[in-house]
Amino acid sequence: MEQQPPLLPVLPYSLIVGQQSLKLALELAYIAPRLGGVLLSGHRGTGKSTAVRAFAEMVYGKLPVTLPINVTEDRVVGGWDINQLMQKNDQWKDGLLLDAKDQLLYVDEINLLDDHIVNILLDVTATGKLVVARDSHSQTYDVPFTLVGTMNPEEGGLRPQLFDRFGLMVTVKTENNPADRLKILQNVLMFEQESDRDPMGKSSEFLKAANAENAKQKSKLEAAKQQWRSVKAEAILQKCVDLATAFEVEGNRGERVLAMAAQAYAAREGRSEVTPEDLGTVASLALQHRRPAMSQSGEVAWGEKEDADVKAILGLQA
Amino acid sequence: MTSDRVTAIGDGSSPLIQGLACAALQPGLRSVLVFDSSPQALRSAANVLTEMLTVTSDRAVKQMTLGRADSDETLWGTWSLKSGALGESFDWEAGLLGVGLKVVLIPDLTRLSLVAARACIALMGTEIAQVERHGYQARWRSEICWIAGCARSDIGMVSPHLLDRFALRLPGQEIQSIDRTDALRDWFTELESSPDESARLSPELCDRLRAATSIHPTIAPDAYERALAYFSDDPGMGIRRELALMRFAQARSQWAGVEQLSAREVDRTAQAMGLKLTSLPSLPKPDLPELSPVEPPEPIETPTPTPSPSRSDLPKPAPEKAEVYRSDSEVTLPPTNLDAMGDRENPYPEDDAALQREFASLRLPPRRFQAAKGGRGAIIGTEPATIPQDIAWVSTLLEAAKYQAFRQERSDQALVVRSTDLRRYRRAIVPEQLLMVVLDYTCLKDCQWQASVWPYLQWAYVERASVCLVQVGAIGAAQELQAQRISGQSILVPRIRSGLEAGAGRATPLAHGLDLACQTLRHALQHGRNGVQRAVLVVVSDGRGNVPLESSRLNQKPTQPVKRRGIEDALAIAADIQRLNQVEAIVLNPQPKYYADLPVKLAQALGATIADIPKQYDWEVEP
Repeated sequence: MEQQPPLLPVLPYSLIVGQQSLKLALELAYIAPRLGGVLLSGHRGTGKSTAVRAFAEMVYGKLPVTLPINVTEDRVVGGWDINQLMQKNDQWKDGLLLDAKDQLLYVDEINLLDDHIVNILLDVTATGKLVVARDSHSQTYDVPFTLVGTMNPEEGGLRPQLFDRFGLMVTVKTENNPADRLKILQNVLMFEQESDRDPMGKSSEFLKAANAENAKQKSKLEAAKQQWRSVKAEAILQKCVDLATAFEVEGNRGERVLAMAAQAYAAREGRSEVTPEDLGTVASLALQHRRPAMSQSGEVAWGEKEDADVKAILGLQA
Repeated sequence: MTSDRVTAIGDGSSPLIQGLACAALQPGLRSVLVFDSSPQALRSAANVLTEMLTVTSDRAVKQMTLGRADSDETLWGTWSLKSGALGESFDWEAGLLGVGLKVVLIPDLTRLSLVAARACIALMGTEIAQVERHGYQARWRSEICWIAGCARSDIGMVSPHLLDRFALRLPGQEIQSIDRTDALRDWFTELESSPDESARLSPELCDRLRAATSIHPTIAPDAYERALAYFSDDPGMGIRRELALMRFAQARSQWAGVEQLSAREVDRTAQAMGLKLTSLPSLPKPDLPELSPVEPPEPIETPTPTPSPSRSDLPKPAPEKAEVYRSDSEVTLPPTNLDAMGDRENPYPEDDAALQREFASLRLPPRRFQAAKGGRGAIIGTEPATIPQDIAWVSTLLEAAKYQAFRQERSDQALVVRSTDLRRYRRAIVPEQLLMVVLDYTCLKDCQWQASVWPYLQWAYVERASVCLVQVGAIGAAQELQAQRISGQSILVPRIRSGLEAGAGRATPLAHGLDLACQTLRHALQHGRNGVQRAVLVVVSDGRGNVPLESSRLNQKPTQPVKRRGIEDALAIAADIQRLNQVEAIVLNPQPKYYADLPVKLAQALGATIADIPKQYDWEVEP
């Protein structure tokens, strides 16, 4: 039997250059888990998976619980331990949904998942409960988790119902600022070189600095996670409804998520009250995937005009 | 024999061998796409790569092949029932893509099975592999080195999402001896003995590879800028190509025994890859901690960039000379004749290739007709069954076996299988609908037939229907008196499009065309386990067939006057088609000036709906 080599270290979160919206969405979903997760949609090679893994490593100290595209139903919801069954022991083995309880559940290439698995995810994210009724086993579990999905829209979209299940959505684009692209190349290659030389990151100044920055960021997020519920949002509630109405968002989930995301953002910035500027910052994350155009075509329709409209509604300077 | 094989690979200066050596040295390059390579040459390249990896890793390396018939179970693993001292137990048998350092050969990327393509997406370009199947859970470091072949002309058939995972693109080359007589002698020797799996690399090449593994070139600051200058900042593209260029340049420096990667080597590597400058670097100096002290700058000449419209937002580069930093350990690379670098075409042909694939081609196939009879399409896995059709018996029995300890009330009782154990095969998609177009090219003048046919072609695309085009009276017909048939699995097949664009010939073998259509429909709808559930027949004709069916069949010009025989034969065949079930027929009427009733009679015989095709100039202009 061949010995398994250890997993390679993941690029530290603090070394991820640019991608401000992506990072902001992940951080807000961590601060306020009730936001309902993040969908990262972007073209190939934009570093979506790297960012999610790096974020999980930073906040949980390990890789995220991951639902791969080869997953079968019994590993999603749980099933009997097969070898124990053969010995007449009825031992239940939890699935990935339970493994991800109070953590981040990462679904790579979510648009390539088997439809059947997507349906299970839809049910659980809608209710926060996992109802297992299979193989003579029946039980209900509370499974609060933060669903983070990545997808490449070139390979097809998601059903509108699943879009709505994600609290926030980010359209990830490649950094086109030359200085940022240069920094990305430098960081990735330097990280590979240094972690090859010093896998534990004990002697490399480069890795030590990155890990220290990670620790600082984590403590900032932890503080915000404790504070976000006490952030006052009364003053901006009407603005949330105005925005949701102006962008023709169906149902009430849009304005709720918007208000909550603004609260989390204010907490992240260390403030005790939400401002219209906070709303302006998170509006595209909360609303872009809930617009009617999205359910019709699967295409995100959010650009500079929408940003300007948000500012106009909030009475902010363009 | 081994020494002769050494000349086959040479001293490692050929682009292919050098590229393979770089892949063996640099884990970030271990997904290699070889263009326009013969199957034998690709296998030889995979063998060389396997041996090189064995040298650089000092570990055993397995080689395996992925193809068209792989299933999820073959790739990811499956349970197998074993008997042991403690009774029967299930053991997980790892699949082809499991733990271990291995070279995976994909002979033809366009013929890769859907599940294998999905597995490639999950595993290529990442070190983290994970399997979560049938109660088994594992996460490991994937150490697969991929090598795939693909013709440049077929690149549009492969998902760009998958192509993007291939870091290194190499031109296909035959790996063979310089002395062909020796190669022939070797081949005869091999025929008489068992296949020789011993080392094909020369001791010198192995030593060079081993020496290269201990070299870790540092990167000169201006090398980064140089790499960026070869790519546009198109927001649709990630940063993978820039990284691949840097890694390739780094590995080439390793291979050449150079301690520092310079901008000049980035240029050489880019040239070897077939890349062209899109701009001159004009970026601020990076504030990166330096790994080794560098020498003061020394100016060099820079190549002239090729203007790129996508970088229009960048400031215009000044025609100044770039600075290069040179370390004290820099060594001059051995001279390389760039003209002899072989294929230097664009390494990313997918950027401007014509689309020849399905939309969302990596998704699992949908089932449109739930009650359709199963058993068609290549098996790509198993799934729980809701109806007892196309049952995967081994998977079903294995599923049932898990519960026997609880289900069996007596020890001598046979295996108890319940409906929840049933598993059926998951199969690759096969078209369940057919679009049949009978196009009479001799009646299309002055009518807007393309616009009238277009909705049916759209339907065929949306429904993923297979397509059959029957050409009646086309100008390039192999036999003038006969119609001819062009079939495709989908509307995207290029020969369907080119077939639609043929011009008008002289004869109109309409009866033969309808006869061909009738045969094809009967085959598709009635033959064996064929999967077509519904067919749409579109006939574009004025009904004026002038070749009797018998003349077409015998391929002989009629000696007697034809009169109405061509027309009557066509109407008789049309009546046969009407008797077929599951066929929806439409006649598109080009509104001929003479015999305007014939299209209507044809539609009546077919039991078809009829629609008029607008004339080319179907409007009046007031004087």
